[in-house]
Amino acid sequence: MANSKNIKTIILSNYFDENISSRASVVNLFKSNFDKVDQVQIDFANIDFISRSVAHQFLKEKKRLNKEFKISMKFQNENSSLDQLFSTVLQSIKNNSSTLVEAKSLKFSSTSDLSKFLLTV
Amino acid sequence: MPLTLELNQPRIKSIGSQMNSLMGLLEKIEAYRGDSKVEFDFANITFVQPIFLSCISALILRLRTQGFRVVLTNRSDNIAAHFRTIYFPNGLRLDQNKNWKGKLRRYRGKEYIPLIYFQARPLERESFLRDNVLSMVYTLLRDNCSLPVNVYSAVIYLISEMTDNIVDHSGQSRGWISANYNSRDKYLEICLVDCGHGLLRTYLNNGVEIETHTEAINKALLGLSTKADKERGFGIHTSNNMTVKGLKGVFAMFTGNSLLINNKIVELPVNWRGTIVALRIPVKAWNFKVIEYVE
Repeated sequence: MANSKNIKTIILSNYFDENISSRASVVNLFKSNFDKVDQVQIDFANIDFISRSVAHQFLKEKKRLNKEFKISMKFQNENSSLDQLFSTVLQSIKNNSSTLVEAKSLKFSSTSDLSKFLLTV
Repeated sequence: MPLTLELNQPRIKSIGSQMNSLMGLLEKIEAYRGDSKVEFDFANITFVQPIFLSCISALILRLRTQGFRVVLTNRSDNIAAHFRTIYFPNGLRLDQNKNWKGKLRRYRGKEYIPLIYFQARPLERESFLRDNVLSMVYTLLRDNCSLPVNVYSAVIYLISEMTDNIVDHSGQSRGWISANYNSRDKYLEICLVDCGHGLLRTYLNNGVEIETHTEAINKALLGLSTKADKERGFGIHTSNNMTVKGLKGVFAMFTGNSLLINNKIVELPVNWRGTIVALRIPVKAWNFKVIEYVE
């Protein structure tokens, strides 16, 4: 007889109104006890937006639970924007390449010149 | 001898102009050697500019924490009434109010939200409440400013990344957020302020060997996380790109003595202990997608 999986579902709308902004919120979600849990389901129903940091933290927790406890994590009911965000973040973790550039430093000989510049931006 | 700070109306409504006014104030405070009373004189202020005002709130609180007696003088009746409405200078601490949703609902239909002095610690109860407060702020901004869907998404992205930076890096228990919509010229200004470690100290605390605030800003623009985590460090440069390139707006960050403003860095003769992020976002229908600026 096959063992049935012990699944824990986290319904995000029980904690959040539409959006999740803080990485810390995700960390706190996963501080609960996962003893005897085989799979965690994250239910994104009624969640419209999560930040990039939040998406990254979910992926990080997914990896951690799997590595430390052999627990799998599944996302469900995420809208297409969230789905796209997860894919983008996952891709950037894999790529880890950067085309970023520094900002141009400007020097001013006097505070008056600096002020003049500031008044233009 | 008390210090009297005559506030000058920023000459034009740009973010740079507001930073210039702030710089003038900070110069006087840094030069002051007394230890008693600081007076903010509002006689010349006829119009309240939100970013300038958010920074003054944080400054007043810091001076009070340092033991100064701070008084506000010569406010016109109109200005005084507006200050009460937006909770200047003490800020609105929604966590201390069970009916915080009711408090925020009062700002429906207005062109501004109050100065919110939000909890910035990563604790469970605080994080969940902060996220729900921010959700309501997003809804107010969307409805009050009639934000197009893509601009709304960008506003959420920017505020969430910048508040998260305060939570993760400032080392402070609270931070400030304010926003104001100019319906005539159709732009939204958002300001986030903390009086915490600032970028340079945060990098140094995490073993990154740099010396100046300008280097710290550039490290952030190059995507170097202050944490020992190569997968992090995207918040500032994506927010800067999204605002400047995507939304054709203004992204300013003032930390230590360095000011990043629209991809240019200038060193100022004054210091901000902590970080100020000021955004100006034109509100119009852009051919723009948030996801194109996310990495």
